Amino acid sequence: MASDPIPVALAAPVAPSPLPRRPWVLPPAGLAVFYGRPETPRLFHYFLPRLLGEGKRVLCLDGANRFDPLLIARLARQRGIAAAEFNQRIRVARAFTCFQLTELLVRVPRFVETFAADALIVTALPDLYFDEDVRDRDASVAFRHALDALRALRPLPLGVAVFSDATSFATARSGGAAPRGAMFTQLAAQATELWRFALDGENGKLRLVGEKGCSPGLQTRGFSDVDHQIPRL
Amino acid sequence: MTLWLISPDQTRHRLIDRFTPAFYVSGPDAVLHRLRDAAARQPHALACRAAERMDLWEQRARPVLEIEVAHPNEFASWTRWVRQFDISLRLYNSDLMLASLYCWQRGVFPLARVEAEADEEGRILALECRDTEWAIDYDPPPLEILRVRLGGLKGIDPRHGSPFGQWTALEIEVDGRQMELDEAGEPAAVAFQHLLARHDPDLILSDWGDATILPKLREQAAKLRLPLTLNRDASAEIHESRARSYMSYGRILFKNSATTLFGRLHVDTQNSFIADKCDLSGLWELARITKLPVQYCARTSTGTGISYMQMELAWRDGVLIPEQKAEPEDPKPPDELLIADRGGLVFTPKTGFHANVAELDFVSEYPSIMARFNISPETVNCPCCPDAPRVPELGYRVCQKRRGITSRVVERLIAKRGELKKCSARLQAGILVASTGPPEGGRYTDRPCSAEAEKMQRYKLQRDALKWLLVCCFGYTGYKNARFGKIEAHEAINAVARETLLVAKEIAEDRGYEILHALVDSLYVQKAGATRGDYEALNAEIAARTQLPLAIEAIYRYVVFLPSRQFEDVPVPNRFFAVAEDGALKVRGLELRRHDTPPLVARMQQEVLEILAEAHDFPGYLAKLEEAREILRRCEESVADGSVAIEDLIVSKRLTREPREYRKANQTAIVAQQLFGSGVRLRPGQTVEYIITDSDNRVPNDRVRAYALWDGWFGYDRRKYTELLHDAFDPLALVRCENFPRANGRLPKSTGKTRLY
Repeated sequence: MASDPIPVALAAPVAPSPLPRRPWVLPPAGLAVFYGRPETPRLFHYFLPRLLGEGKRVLCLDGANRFDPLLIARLARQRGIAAAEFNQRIRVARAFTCFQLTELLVRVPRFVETFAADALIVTALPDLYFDEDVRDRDASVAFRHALDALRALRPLPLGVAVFSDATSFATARSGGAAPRGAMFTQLAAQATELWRFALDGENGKLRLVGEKGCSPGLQTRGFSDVDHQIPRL
Repeated sequence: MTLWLISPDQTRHRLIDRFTPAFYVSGPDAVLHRLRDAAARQPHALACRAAERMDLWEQRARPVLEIEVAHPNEFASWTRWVRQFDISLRLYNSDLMLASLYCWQRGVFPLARVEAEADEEGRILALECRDTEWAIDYDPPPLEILRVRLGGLKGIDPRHGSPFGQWTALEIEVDGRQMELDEAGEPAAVAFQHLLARHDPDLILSDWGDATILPKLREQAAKLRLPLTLNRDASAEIHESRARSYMSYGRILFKNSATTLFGRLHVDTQNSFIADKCDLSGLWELARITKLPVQYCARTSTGTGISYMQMELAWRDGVLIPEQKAEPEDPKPPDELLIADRGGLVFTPKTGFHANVAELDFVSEYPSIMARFNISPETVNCPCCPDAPRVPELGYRVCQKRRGITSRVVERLIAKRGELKKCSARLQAGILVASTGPPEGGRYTDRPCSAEAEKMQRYKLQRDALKWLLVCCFGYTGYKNARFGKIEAHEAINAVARETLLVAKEIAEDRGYEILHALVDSLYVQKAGATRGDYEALNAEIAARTQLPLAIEAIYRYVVFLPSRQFEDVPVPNRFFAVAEDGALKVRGLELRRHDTPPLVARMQQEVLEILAEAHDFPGYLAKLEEAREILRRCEESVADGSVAIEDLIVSKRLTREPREYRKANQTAIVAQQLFGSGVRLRPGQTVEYIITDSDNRVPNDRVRAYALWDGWFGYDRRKYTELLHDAFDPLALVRCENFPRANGRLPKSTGKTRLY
């Protein structure tokens, strides 16, 4: 008799798989911006195992509300690590408005005093600032404060990665001519690395294309079948 | 500020009160100095002074610049000026509704009884409030009301069109007289202007006045170059706001445009949740309590009401009111997030027929938790109480030193609602005594006289209005735009509620009761032979242990928990009906409670349930079922012979996207396209009404027809409507009972589409 399927994240630990290869690497310092696919804000999860496996600590400011504790648990088990171990090394705070995301960024120096993070992950920047219920000027001011807060993090030993879906938004507020259209450009200008997610036309697999500040050997990161943890898009 | 007062002799007075609202600015000292210098160059418009105000989150006084604006009309432009002065400045109390701020400052509220002294030019010299918003008994405002609606069906948006050419006349009721304004007589705008001039109503109460009637009347008057004095205050312009679609709890909703007046009120019952649900009595109660202007209060969400009540308390405490919600979530580990980010607890029901069941309900549970345990956004994980008791599961602390703003708001609301309940009970008891006592007054009565009935009804509507405020105050703690919201408070309330339900369940089970179903704040418990006294004892024990008010909502003769519509073996919460000891029905989740069910189907199910409600046990239920089949048969016949009124076949559905964004030709999409094609502009969240004409037709456009485009020659889909009747009836016929297996062992299985009868 067929039994009910057990949700993957709750299943018993699976056999450890080979560690992920080069593609899912975040820069140890500076500001890296990832964009290019609607799923981008969720893809940060796949960068976490390597960092956490190295014992690094990650602070995640989740404006996209995409943080998935069950996926983290699954990724830990795939590496034969207890989920609790990963959980100890992550802190997540969600933002539901652009003002909250700005406030979270402003508070990062205070957060790292109590939780010494090695990496900071931010999602939905500037996507959250496109909220049509927020006045253009208020959104612009909040975004400028957010950029200032990111800039203020430079002296800290903290690699910052922003995962944005801004370029695939199709609202009046995000278009190039709209007042908020320039936000992503401003963010990209401030970034030390700019990476675009793209689907390979031939095999439909995800790849990362370096567009700014990327080391020569890594300008295109392809993902092979060995990287079985690649999300199916 | 302009005030309209009605004196005891029914004279209307327009008075002006001097009012200088203030807002606050914080920022770097140097910038504040520059701002102060710049403001000093506007001596007739602004007055500045250094001040200190409390920061709610940091719990300390913060130096700010107080800027008082001489002319309230310029308030918004001066706040804009400060925002543009330097982006490092933060503004507080700067986007409040001035009418509410005026009420806070003057200690008055809309519809309050006041004593005013004014000079000959109508300038107020003194104003004293002789009323309190917390009063239980108050006279409804003595307003002259003009009611206006379009002839034809209520509830169908007239902008979608008019089936059979209906809605040609304006139906008016004023001063006890009814009349119609149609195309046969003078233009409606002219006739309406005559009525306004003759009766000078204080309130125009309309159906579809916001987006249709008043704009159309204005349009006609403008075309004819005739005056139309909708405003009583000639110095003000009529205010029209735009329609909009918005998301709420994962659903897309639509808010129609609004037409609001000055010197006179306009309430559109089709565009006012509270006036629709709680009538004018509920609206008056809400306007008094929240201190929101009546017309705004009628059209806004009850969440805004709660928000303004919080802000008033904050303002009185000298707390700075931020422009936007910026207080974010505290960072936490993923496993903690998983535990914290959960809602209420549900125990799925044991499906079937159950006799002698008690429903125990925590009274206003979530607000009661907020009040009883002082859970408010600023009291959760406060910096001042590191050793405070912890919230179960989450470990959050709750402040022990100060009372939270939200807790203070809800405790007042709970208290007033409780008092109204007691008044109703006293009135009811008085009526019962009168009805059973000797006929001293020469009259036996089993129903209250009209004045008493009216009062009881008013209490009920007031109570309902407060209930809507209480319902949303919990959700507002987690709402992204609530200025005093904080997600941890939302999570803490949920955690306490879950713990409370678990404690209640354990107590009941310890006492030998079976939990048939539990849903967030209510339990359905059963024990063979249990009496009301037993249930009351259980109720008292749970209330004492949980420290929250619990009440026996009802003891039911029987409850029938129905399974999922798709899978007959899967129990689902909140799909049941119950029959109380007095025969009253409680129905949840069945077709008759759904907004999209055609009236014919809903009525059939209601009639069937009323017959089933006469049963006392399962054999009786089965016997009544046979009787109820006659109702189904009658409805089937009327569908088959075409004698059903077309209005009884209307299906209402909400659009979830723009008409052109639908990718599949489902019924709603087809209707949206039909209306779009006939020039109707539809928005997500709006409701469309249609008739199913031929649901399986290969041509999508022939499957359904928008009701607004209905014409007599269309036929309806008899087979489909018969199927809908069966969908509503069959689950009631498939009910089982553990103690009474049917003679043939097993009932036939329903497979959704299979016809059993």
